[in-house]
Amino acid sequence: MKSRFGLSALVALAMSLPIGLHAQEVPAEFKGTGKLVVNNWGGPTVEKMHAAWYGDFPKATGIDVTFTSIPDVAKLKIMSQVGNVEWDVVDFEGAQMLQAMKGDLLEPIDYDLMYKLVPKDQLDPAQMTKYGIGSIAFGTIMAWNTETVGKTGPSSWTEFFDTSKFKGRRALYARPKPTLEIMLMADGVAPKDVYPIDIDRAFKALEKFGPKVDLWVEKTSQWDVLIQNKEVDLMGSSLARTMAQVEKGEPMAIGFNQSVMEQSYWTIPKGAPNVKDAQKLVAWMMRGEGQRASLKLLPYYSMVNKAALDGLPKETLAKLPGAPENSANSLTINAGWWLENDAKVQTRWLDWLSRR
Amino acid sequence: MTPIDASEPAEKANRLLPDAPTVTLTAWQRQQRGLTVSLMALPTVAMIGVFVMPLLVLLWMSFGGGTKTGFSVQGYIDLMQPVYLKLLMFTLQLAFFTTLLCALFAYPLAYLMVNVSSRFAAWMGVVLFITLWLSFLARTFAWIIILQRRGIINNLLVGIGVIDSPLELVYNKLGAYIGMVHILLPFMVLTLIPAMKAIDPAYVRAGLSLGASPARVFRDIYMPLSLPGLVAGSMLVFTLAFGFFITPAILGGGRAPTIVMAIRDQIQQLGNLQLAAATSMVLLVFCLGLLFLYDRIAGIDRIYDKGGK
Repeated sequence: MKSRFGLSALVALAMSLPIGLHAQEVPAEFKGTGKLVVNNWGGPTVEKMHAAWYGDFPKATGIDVTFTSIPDVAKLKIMSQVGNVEWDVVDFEGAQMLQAMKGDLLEPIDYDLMYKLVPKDQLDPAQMTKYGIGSIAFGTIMAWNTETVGKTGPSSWTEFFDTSKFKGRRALYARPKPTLEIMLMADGVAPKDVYPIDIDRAFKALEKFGPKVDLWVEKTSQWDVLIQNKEVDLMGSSLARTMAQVEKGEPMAIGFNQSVMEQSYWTIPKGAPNVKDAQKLVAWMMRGEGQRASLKLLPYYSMVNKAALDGLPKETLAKLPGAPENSANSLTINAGWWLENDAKVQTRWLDWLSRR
Repeated sequence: MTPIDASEPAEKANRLLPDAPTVTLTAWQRQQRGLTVSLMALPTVAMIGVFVMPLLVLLWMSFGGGTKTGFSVQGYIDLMQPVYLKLLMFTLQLAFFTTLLCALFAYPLAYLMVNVSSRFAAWMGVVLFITLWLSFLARTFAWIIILQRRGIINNLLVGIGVIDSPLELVYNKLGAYIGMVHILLPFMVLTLIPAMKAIDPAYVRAGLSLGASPARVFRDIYMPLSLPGLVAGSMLVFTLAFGFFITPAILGGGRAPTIVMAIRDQIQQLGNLQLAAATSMVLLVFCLGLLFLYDRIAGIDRIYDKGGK
């Protein structure tokens, strides 16, 4: 409950800032009186970000917004089965959205409504789908301790696993996505050629490079602990988590080459209590000014509205995974591939883990 | 191991009550029976609502209930991959050794708590309860601070020159065991204490006065009398360890994959509730089978005996 309070305070703060449209400028069809429940990933970072992003929505439209966490397709499936969907807007990861689509659990996004508020040409079509529009893309990047590894770290995943060039302990996520992608890149596959993943080759590379990983990380929150305690020297870690530690003064450096981006989407569950107002909120979240405010605060994600990058200072742009020079050689997770192959890969992955 | 649904509607209570007795009874008998029925009603309803119903739902789901495809044994067919057997075997091993280690540590601890002055025992109890109240996750991360490469233990050992390079104490199976034994130890101690308390000291005195050595008295009198507590504690710890997830996942550093992690993936990654339900059912049956075996060897019914019998 403490975090909920913190959010309200931030929302209040955001509302008091002179950003966004004034109440009278909001098109009439965006006005409302209802209540929305947004299901997001929770945590202080998300709260801060959301407050900057669309904290002005309730004041401008009269629609109230509350938050719950965390997005879970299985839960939505059960809620829909018993006819009691509690969420109006959900921030699903790409593969989750496809899973939800497969189960016919989502409402199409009302793009006509959105274009009344946001110019169509500002939005990146690559992140727009029938049942969801990009919320953020989060990154897994190469990071290293500058005290033990040095100022210059590995520039590719192949170098990352070069134990003679870079001495130290290594950590990766304890899950097949994005480990298989990383293994293929370490094996010499260019980011653009990773999909469709050659599963056999990826697991062969895993046999080769996997033993060089000292620590498999289960939870994203572990990165904080690992970095602060200098438990590992080289890692394929969460961009946002790592940068948060860099800002706290930890001696860490990161590289964007061959980074892995995963796109998340705003979706509206079928049977949500307030679909009409949910469409308004989703449209509102696409406004450039809101996205820019959030990026200024937390410049570790990429966003749908290209105009959000306008006017951002150079040093902020340098941190953004979506900035052109940073994304030049990055890989975006192919959610469709994972939806097709997840079951097959999962058992092989567990089999590999259990042999160690 | 099975999800517990506490939100069972309360109105079911009335339907499940037995009908009023038709035999003629004296007023007093009627009152007695009424009292018994009303006292039993709540636990019965709770039992059905909280344990039986969710289990039936799980069974139904494991055969494809709630899916578009309808009834199928696909969940059980999917389970017949060697990886699941491997994970099951490892989980079993983890639970078994955790139980054994807990028993080894808990027995002297409980013995101490029963036999020291009551004030000291109370303090030990408080310490034990405080550990129980702290969240699993907090205690898991606390172990990292102690065991990690630059943790308390390694810094101390390297500092005083016992070892040259840090020991690998965490992010492996050892770390998983340390965390699990620590978290489950209080459960074992707390089940052992009442069993030990129930042992009449007169038996021990009698044995000693008849010339038996303290070791013999312990082996032939004290130990057998405390066995019900040990049996109950082992069952509790084993069952909890079998379904443990977050501690081996974090402290194991990917080297202690349990079957519960597979269930988690089945739900969150694959959205395959049928497979997850089928895995849970197999685990349940497996666990029941083990308890049955355990009963044949150790005698679970002893738990309900009074210690001094």
